[in-house]
Amino acid sequence: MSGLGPGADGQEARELPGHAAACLLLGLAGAGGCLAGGGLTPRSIAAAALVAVLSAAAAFRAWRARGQALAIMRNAASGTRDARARADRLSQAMTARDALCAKALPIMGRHVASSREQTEQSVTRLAARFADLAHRLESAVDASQHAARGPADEGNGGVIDVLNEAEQRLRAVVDALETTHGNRNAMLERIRGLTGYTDALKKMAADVAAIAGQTNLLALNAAIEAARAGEAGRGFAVVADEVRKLSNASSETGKKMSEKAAVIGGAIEGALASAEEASQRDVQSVAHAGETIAHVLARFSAVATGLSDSSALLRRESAGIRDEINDILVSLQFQDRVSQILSHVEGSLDQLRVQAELAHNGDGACALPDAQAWIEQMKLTYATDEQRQNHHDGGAGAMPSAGSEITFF
Amino acid sequence: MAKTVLVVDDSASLRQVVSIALKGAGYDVLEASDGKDALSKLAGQQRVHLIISDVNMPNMDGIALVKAVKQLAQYKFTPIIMLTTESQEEKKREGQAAGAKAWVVKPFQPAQMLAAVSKLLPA
Repeated sequence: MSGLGPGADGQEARELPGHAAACLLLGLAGAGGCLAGGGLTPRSIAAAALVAVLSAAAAFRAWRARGQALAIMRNAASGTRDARARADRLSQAMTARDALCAKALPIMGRHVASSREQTEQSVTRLAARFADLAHRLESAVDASQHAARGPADEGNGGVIDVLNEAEQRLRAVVDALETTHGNRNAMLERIRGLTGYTDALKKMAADVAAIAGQTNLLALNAAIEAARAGEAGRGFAVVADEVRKLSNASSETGKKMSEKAAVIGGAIEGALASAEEASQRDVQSVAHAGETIAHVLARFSAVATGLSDSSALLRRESAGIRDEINDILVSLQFQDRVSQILSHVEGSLDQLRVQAELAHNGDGACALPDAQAWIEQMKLTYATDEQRQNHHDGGAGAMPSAGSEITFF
Repeated sequence: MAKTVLVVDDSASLRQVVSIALKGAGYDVLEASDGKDALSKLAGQQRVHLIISDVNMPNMDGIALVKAVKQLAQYKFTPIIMLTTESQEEKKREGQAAGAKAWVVKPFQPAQMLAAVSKLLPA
């Protein structure tokens, strides 16, 4: 420093702040462009923050150069006349620069503040919308699960449960039909047993008819014998005639019995035939009902399984999406860091403005702070590692990955 | 009954991210934008069971909030988690000395945050 001439230093001091202000303006314009043009992506916001921070660093370098220039100026004041004249010019130039800074810095500060606010608002909205998405997805999955399986804790109402219940009830119906059919068959067997009795009845009627025939023959013989006995047989002839009448009546009764037995037998056979026919039809319709039920249940089951499968798929997918949304929420935390960094830049710009105004309004004796002390003070207020890295070499890159550090006390 | 967590951060988006994670896990959430706001929420009707607070905030910062909460009879033993971009050891020691129970560095994983919450808030 002491090796350089005042002129050379003045040159450096004139150029650096102008260059720094241009850098800042360009940087902020660039940052604003990123935010306005490409939408609020983490990349654009991080880029904007980086540009703003780098710009601020350039401005600080310029101020540091200015401090050096002032030291030279003090030396110059106690030096030669030429040097004093140069120092006066230098002082005028710096006063102009102070005025420029006092005007430009608040504007830059407002740009930084509005970038920060815009990001904050957008990210808050984004987070709310993602949360809403996650919530709606969860409701949809719940509804689908409810339809497929019913509420997890109650185990009823879902398609699968309805299917199981339907299967049980329909099987009971088929079973009841089969039991009825079995009962009817038992009854038919007993009726079939009755036909044996009607046969016996017919035989007994035939026996009655035969006995009546024999009796009639006997009565006829008795009448002949009574006639041959003459007057003495007259009374017997009357008895024989009565016996013949009785045998005729018995013969009639036997014939009627035979007829009735035939009618009963026929009726039983007819009833049996139609009952057997009905039984055949019942067997068929029970079988058909069983098949139909099995078919319907199978189709129903296919639908229910499909529904259950898709519900399971939906559940798996939604778990994946939920994880994605969680990741997004983690990523959205960049805004908080960016906001802190930008707030810090904003604060530093404001402090610089205050200093610039003091210098500008003052008597030129200049109460500027020591550059090194100023820079150290900045360093003390940093809250993120990126800021500390940027402070030294500007090598800070992406936000650190999430979830690296939890300390319990 | 769901336990209530008070989330204190000057960044609305960060508050939202934290409260989404907490609500998803079944907690009730109150939000405050700085230390002073947090103290007024603690003076309200709803009982708070745990506090998650940022460190760097305007008006009243997180460390000052922890110290203030420790002075409240009702909340003297309420666990406080500091959630901050700050990872420097001396800051952590400051938080520990003030009475915080845990120090979580942002950005955080919701699952890890929830694990820390349920560790400090057994059901």
